[in-house]
Amino acid sequence: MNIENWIPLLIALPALAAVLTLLVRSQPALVRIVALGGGLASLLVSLAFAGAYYRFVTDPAALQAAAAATAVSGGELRPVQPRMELRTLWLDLAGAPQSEQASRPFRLEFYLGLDGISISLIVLTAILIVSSILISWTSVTEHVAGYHACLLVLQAGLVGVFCAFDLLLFYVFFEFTLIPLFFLVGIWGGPERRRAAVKLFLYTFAGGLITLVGLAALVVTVWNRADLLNPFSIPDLARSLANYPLPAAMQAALFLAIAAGFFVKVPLFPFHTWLPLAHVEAPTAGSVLLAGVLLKLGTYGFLRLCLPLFPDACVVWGVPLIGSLSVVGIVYGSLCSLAQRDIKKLIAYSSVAHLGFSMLGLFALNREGITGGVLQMLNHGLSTGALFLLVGMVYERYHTRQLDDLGGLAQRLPLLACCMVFISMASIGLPGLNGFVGEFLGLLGMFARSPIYAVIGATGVILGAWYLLTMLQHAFFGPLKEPNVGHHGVAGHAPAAEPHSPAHPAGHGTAHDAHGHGGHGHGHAAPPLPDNGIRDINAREWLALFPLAALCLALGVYPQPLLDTIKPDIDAVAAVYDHSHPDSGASRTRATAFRSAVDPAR
Amino acid sequence: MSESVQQLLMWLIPGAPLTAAILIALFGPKVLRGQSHWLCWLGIATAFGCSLALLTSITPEGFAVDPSQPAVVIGYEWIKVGSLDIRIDLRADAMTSIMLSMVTGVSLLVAIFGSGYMHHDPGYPRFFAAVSLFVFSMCMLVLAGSFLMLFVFWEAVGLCSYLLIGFWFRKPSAAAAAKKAFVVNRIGDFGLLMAMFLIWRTFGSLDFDWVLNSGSTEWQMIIGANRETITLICLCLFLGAMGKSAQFPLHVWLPDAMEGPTPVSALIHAATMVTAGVYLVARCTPLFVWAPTAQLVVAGVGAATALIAALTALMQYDLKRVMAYSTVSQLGFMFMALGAAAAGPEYVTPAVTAAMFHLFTHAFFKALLFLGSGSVMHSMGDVIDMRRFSGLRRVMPTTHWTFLAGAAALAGVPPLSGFFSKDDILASLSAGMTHGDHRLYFAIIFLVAVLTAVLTAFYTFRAYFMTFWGPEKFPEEAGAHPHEASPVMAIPLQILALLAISIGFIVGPLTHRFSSYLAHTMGLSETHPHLHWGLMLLSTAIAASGIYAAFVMYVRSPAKAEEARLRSGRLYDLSQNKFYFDEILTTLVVAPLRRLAALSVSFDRTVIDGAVDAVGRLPRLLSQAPARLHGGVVGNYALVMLLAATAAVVFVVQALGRQ
Repeated sequence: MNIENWIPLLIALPALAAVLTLLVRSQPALVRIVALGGGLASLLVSLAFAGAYYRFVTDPAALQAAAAATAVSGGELRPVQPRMELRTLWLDLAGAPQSEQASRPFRLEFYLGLDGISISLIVLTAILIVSSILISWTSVTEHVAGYHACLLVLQAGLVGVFCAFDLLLFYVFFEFTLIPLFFLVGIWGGPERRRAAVKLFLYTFAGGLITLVGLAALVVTVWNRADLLNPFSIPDLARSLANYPLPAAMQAALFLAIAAGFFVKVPLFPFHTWLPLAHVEAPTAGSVLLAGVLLKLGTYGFLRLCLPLFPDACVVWGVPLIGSLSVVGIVYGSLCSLAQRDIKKLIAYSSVAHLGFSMLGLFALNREGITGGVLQMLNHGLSTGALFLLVGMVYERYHTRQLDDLGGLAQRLPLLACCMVFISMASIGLPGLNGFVGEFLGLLGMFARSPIYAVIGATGVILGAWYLLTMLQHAFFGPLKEPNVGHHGVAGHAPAAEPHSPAHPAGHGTAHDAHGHGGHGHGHAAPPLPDNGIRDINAREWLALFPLAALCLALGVYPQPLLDTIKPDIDAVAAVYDHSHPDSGASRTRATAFRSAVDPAR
Repeated sequence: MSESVQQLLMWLIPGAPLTAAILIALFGPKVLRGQSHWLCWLGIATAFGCSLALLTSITPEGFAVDPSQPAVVIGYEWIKVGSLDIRIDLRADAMTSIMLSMVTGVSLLVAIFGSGYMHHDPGYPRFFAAVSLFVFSMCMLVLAGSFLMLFVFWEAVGLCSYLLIGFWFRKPSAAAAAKKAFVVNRIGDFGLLMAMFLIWRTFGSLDFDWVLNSGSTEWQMIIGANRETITLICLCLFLGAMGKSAQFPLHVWLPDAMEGPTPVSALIHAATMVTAGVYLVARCTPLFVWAPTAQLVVAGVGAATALIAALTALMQYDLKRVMAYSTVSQLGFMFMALGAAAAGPEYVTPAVTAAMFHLFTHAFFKALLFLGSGSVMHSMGDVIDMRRFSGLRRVMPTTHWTFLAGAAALAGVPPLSGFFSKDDILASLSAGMTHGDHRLYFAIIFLVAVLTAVLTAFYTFRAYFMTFWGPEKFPEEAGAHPHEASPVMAIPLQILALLAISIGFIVGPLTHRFSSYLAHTMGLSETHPHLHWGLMLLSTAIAASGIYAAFVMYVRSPAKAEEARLRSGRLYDLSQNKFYFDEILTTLVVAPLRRLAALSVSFDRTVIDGAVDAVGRLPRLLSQAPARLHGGVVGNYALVMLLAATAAVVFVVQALGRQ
């Protein structure tokens, strides 16, 4: 039994679970259990694939075989190469009468595959889906079946994007993910959900259409290349275009067209304004998935299509364009976060800054930078996903996310506050937690490519600490300030909020006298809090949060297994740029040499 | 000692406190509660014992075989990407072992003191978990074998500092101070990050054993080809050091950090963490000697910081803040010494040794002074304003004599520890004054150092006299019977006092133990420093004059203090208000950034999102024009049809004609 044949299961399992939830839609409790079961099953399957994949890439024999294959191909570059693949002919128009223009039959493949980057993102998606289902357990009460079906369909779509190695398939899945997300925001979102959903849909869809035009133009351009078995296959395209690049102007045009959709999706400054609105209006699970995975479709698109297909355009246009937009995004996003009074909006803007780090890394176009960019994708998914979970927990308790309404929550919710500090530190990029490794590698790589972007980008580490710690200071530290939660808590505790907590040293002297010698309370022992029905993190919430927190720590302390997993793919794509490095004297000679060589397609 | 034993020792030094931290964090709140300190003590004591064993195992005899060879324990691969290969290894040489012994020793005493001081605090386990975590991080920081690993634990001690400054998080001032410390430190970390990027690009590695190993010819070629870059690297490294070691103008966080519990102030914000910057610059001596410009900057910033902080300390009434500014000032002294290495190759080792020796002695007497302040604060019911109590020497005899020992050491009274180390620093500054290319520069710095030393003696004894002399006066918070520290607090005070008194002439210039041990560090060489009798006399005079002035003003005739205060007017206000640095930074940096942030948000809403919405409205606008064509008036349709038909006919006729 070949594991490759089971790749469609990764997509089919969540889709199947979605259908099941709709079948039992009359019983919300059962719906939740079915959805959770589906999510867990998907997680197990993804982990099984990840395990098999890891064994494969760390197996010296397999690596040798792969190296031998490369040697046979005569030093050809293979910038994209799934290590596990499943190709099926899907649509074959070979039998149709051929017109004069079409020199090759029109064939479409159902081409699924896995490489280290995609399997990591698939596992991330599966983890976040389980957390999303758990966090929605009590907060979503309307159209429960539809909600969970949307979540699971979204998962299927996302996994589809990551598995697709066929241009058309990639695009279809890429746009398909918008549909469930549109419903998640538009139906289960906040007061302005419709406007947010429409804006989210139209904006990203408009960007996506330009991408589609670019993809079509690309396929038409390379249609007659002799070395191309299937012009829709991303690995074939990447190999052909890396070895025989297109003319520079053509590359630039295609790069910009294809990147358009990704610009909006990432989102890069100034195409980001749909994001804060969508985040604020989305339900917690929607925000978790939007920040955790949806945004990564943009960076993934850059990594999967732009980097391997248009090497010259990436060096000439990509580095200055994306570099400057990223650093502006980092600084600007951080400043916008600093001024926010809504915690969720604050985190939404912080995503703009964090994705800026990721893009900086990717467009360093070297191993260190691209690795950093990919790690930042995963790390941002974990830490920002967890931050949205935590904000959702606060919102569920107090029905507000305004910093002005909250204060000193660490007294009421010590465990939640602990987790918040922990995850904030991960997001700030404290070494030893996950965020640092990606940020550091991305900036280091960019410093080698073009120092100015790295220097400006690195100021983001100062601003990042500032806005997140300001949020912690206002919401979780200081005197306790809770909004009135009478309708939520136990009856009879309606006025339990404490707008004016007693000043801390009050009554100290007497407290000290009471135990006379040696004993000391420092006046900081607050009187026991009146019970207002607000409880700290419960077991279900803890289950949703714990895997993310644990991974934040694990990937910070020992990131090497993940690095090993993604290394072959990153080496492959970075090899395209080995000669374009400003440090290497032979800058861009390879590209020029190939351009002067005869293009077999012409 | 066999290699495996040594490896075990080295793992235990950070490992034991880490284990303690994890166990206390897991079981503290529910199981251990008031007994949490035992685990912390055990962890730190283990680390201390192992540090001492390591100190003796890396003896000069061991070095005789291979002088530059540090003890290295292999850990695991942390990040291996492209040409970057960072391992978590432990690396110990002479400088490391001295730092380790000092850090774990002071930590142990502070942890013991803390169990008395923090008694009955609801956050008792949290306190000991954070202290254990800090000791782990600090040990790892000095055991780091590469810049990146140093950076990791540089940030980790910053995290512990954040957690402990904000320990009483209900106080808004504590929460604000914690944030301020972290963010200001991050500015320094930015410099360190840049330094690492530059080092990686220049040397292709981040390992100390390669970047700081001046032995190889390849290294010298790299240095020779990149002199400007080396200067830039050193300046970036120093920016990092400025953040952590609270040097002007990044010193603003340290006085606010006194919001944390006093044992924390003693441990993190006086003895250990804040000296990490000095350690970093001393560690990077092989690079700094190739960047004289950077060394001058180090000395200049150190001098400015020392003077400004000493002037600020003069008129503070908060005992802990006096000590905090004193710490800032003393760190400035250490940087002055490090900068004085610019005098010439043969003055490098004495200068670095002087800085490290002052770091070493300062740790003991400053921890002692802070713990003494803590003992006073504990007894006075958390009142720390010196105007509200006085004459405590009879009520608190142990605290009194230990505090006096610390104050005398800080003021530089011979033959206490501070006397020897400060004298070494003055000696290296005077070497810069008489040798090398920057004599005038170092002459000015020397004068600043002398002036600062006088001020130091004055403000230290001002605090001492105000607290322990004069009429017996207690604040009402202290209750009826102010008490002496309990034994668990008194014993660490006494041990530290003995060390502050004696460590100077046990290991100092009289015996050369410290300098000959430290010389076995990469970049330093064996020297035979001599005693500087003239400078010693000067130091003694400095200490005596400062102490005498304080005695006159605060004991014999307090009216004189009042008179001087009135006469100095503006200057007094400046000192009292910390030279308005907080206000200046707020107006010049924080407020503009906040305004910029607010501006960004409105720009985002109106301009960027406005443009997006405008584009969104475009299709509707465009559709209005063609909609008019389909107005339903038959005459219009007929007209358009006619025009189109004519055009078609013309086109066809033309096309036929061309054939």
